[in-house]
Amino acid sequence: MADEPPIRLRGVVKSFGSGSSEVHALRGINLDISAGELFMLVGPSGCGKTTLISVVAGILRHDQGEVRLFGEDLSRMSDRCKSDFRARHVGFVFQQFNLVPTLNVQENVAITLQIGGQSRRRAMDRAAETLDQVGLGDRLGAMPSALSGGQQQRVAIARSIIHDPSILVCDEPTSALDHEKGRQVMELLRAIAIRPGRALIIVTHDNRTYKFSDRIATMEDGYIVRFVRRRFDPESVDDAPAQPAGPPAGMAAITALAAAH
Amino acid sequence: MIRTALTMLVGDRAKFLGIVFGLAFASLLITQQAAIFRGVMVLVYGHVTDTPQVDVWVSDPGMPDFDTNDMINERELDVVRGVEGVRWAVPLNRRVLYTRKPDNEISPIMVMGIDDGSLIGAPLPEAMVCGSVDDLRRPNTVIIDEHSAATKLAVEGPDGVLKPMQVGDRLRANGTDIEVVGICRSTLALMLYPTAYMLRSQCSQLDASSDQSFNFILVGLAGGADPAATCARIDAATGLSARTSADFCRHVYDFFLYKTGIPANFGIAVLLGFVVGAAIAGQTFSQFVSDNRRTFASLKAMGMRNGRLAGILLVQAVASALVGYGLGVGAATLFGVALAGTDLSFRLEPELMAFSFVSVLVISIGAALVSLRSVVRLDPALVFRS
Ligand SMILES: Nc1ncnc2c1ncn2[C@@H]1O[C@H](COP(=O)(O)OP(=O)(O)OP(=O)(O)O)[C@@H](O)[C@H]1O
Ligand SMILES: [Mg+2]
Repeated sequence: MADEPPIRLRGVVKSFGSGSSEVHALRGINLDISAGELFMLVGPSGCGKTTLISVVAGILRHDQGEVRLFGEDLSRMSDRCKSDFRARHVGFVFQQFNLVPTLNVQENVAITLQIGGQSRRRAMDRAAETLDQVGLGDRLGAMPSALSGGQQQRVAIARSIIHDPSILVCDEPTSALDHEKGRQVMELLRAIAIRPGRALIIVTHDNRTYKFSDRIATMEDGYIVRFVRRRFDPESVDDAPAQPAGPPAGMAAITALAAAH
Repeated sequence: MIRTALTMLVGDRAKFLGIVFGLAFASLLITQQAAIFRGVMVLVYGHVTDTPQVDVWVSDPGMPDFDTNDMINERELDVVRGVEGVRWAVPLNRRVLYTRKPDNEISPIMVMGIDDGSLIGAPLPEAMVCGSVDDLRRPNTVIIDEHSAATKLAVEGPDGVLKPMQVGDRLRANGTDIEVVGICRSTLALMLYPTAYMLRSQCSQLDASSDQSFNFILVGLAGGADPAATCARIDAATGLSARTSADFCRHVYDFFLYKTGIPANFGIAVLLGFVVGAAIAGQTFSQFVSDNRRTFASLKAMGMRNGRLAGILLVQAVASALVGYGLGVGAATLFGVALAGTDLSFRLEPELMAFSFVSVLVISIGAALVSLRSVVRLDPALVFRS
């Protein structure tokens, strides 16, 4: 068990609906994600990326297979247990930021700690520090609507890491932003979200962000079809598109790859 | 989390105002209508409370309300005076007289024909605005109530301007001029007819139809006499119905409460306030929650338990209730202040304010509970869907 990675999925299956309208979103996922690296999940629309990270984050129940988070079997946890697990160990970054529109920036960030049971005062103090880290220390009282998309996403990132989560899931964090803002967000994530004990998973469509990853898994139609390990090179960040993942492989290759891993 | 919940609510100004408006509306209508109801209902026994020196009221046993009763005669009065526990007993004759004002307009007045000897049943000295009760001993005199003097009995001068009736003015009844010798405050003033006080003998003289009978016997008890036992003895001795002042008030009150359409009318208004207020507040609250679906889903994804979410909704509901109630009762009070001195009477009692608050609380917490269902069912996986 000593060498078990923080996140381990074996044969994970998830379908939606039933009968003729049944959608097989995950068809048997085998996946290990280590801590301290930036793991990227890519693939065409509808291939199951969001479904996969929803299962990993403990907000969606899978149908079959095993999901182990830091040695704990997710399917054995009660809903309440999962809530508490998420409050303590999981951070979220969403495509649409999902900030509370009627709370100011600092309150939005503090809310993570308040959910975890900390007092408002302490949470607000920590929120100010964390916002400083993401470069928004001077906008504590601003309302989300007064910020640009890039700034809102930085607030969301501050909110997602303030409680030092062991798992950080980001679904398309750059797709609501223009290229430059997206790049800044990816740089920020690389700079402050990667931690030795933390598994960081980013779902993306945008091949210009691939270069920020340490490892890329490509999904197709509910399967993971390919893994690519990259070596992140800070110098390459300003360059033209990094090496894309290549054309989709055939079904045989998929199973071979998945099994090999 | 309380502060966060409140900031969330108040931050959505339009919804917050909508919710508060609904609750304030309910609170206003409930409080105002119920206060008027209470105001009207204490009038119906106003003469009983205006004559506190009377311990027991004796009337015909078939009397359903203060205005409808049969005659009592001298012989029965004598019997009551002989009953053990009775210190004194005096007649009260209540009559409607038609009078003509100096400006020639005809006005009915409700006359209290009080006992010539004792003047019991007349306004108390502290209720006299001007003039004196003793002046009633002069022939052809009357005391009228202040409110009616300024309204129903106001006299139109030659210049066409209405002037309150004053001491010295005259009313003509059955061919006799009677002089106003006093103005007093009277609870009954707000009832249908102006209230007037004169001696019983005077009243009989003016009322052609009246013989020597009257319609109430007012009794003062001897020190230490048991009120209930004395009433029972009076009943047995006369065949009339004797009630302590408190019982008599309740008897009259119950008639209006159970046998007239008054409570139903007010009840419908109160119910309407409740229903409309609940509809507005409930609808706006669920709109608020549904607009914040994404927020609530995010909070759930971030690990907030359903209990905590329920707490947030509850805090928001109670806060709205407090603000809405405050505004509603405030408006109702202003309404009451504006009504002072008009024919409408208004009585805002603590019980009524509590009733209004509980109603508003029921509406807002009900709305929160309805919305809570949808929040509890909310799928946190929604957060990743756009
Ligand atoms: N709650 C749901 N009910 C029914 N079908 C669903 C649900 N969630 C996802 N699906 C279906 O499951 C499949 C995988 O969806 P998912 O959102 O995981 O894809 P995705 O890779 O994230 O796509 P995109 O890049 O467009 O976000 C799709 O066919 C989708 O329609
Ligand atoms: Mg998706």
